[in-house]
Amino acid sequence: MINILERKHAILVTEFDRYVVEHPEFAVNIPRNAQIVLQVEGDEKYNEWSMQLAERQREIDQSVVYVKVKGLKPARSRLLKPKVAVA
Amino acid sequence: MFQLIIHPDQLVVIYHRDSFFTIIIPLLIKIIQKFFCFCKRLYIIPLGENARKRHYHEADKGDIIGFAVQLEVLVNDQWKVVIRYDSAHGFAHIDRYYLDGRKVKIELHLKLSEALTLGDEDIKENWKIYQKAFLEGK
Repeated sequence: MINILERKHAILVTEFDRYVVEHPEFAVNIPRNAQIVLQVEGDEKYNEWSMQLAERQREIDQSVVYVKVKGLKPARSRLLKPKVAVA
Repeated sequence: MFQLIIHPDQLVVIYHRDSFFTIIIPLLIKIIQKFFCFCKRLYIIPLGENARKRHYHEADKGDIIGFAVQLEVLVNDQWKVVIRYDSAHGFAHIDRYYLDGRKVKIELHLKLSEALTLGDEDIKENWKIYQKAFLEGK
């Protein structure tokens, strides 16, 4: 069975990576090798799961950065100028 | 009035709180970061039980000029790299690691930004499969 929290987390992680690449100023204060803990506004179940997972993996003296998001925008196509050619 | 410190990957300015620099300096920092882009990022995100992703990228004015994205799994209290998408040696490639210490390199004929996207997507979709295969020695 699909673990919904894990699935949601995987999507959030990918979106976070993209956001950091696209908004370089956003992550300027994140220390090197910091552990990122994602939190979603209003989703206590996910937040608790995410926090506990991070705590289990945290290394001694590792910096922790909590990133709280309001949610996700609907997924959009990333294709660049596709063209249709009917055979 | 204020002190400027430049680290390899970030700009830090220490200034007195009660001056007009309180407003001006943060704005200047944002502008400098936008145009000169001190952009090296390295962080770790847990993916699931005993699995995490290490993400590194370097950008210049929005263009990716270097990256490494790797899946790590916990084996006997040690984090081991399972798969790494990487731009070291000047080209995008995959390094696949095995429990017995073998390493296989696969060249990717992709732009660095495309390879970074592929790495993030692949690890997102398949980290459990990679973790299982690694632990089974496959």
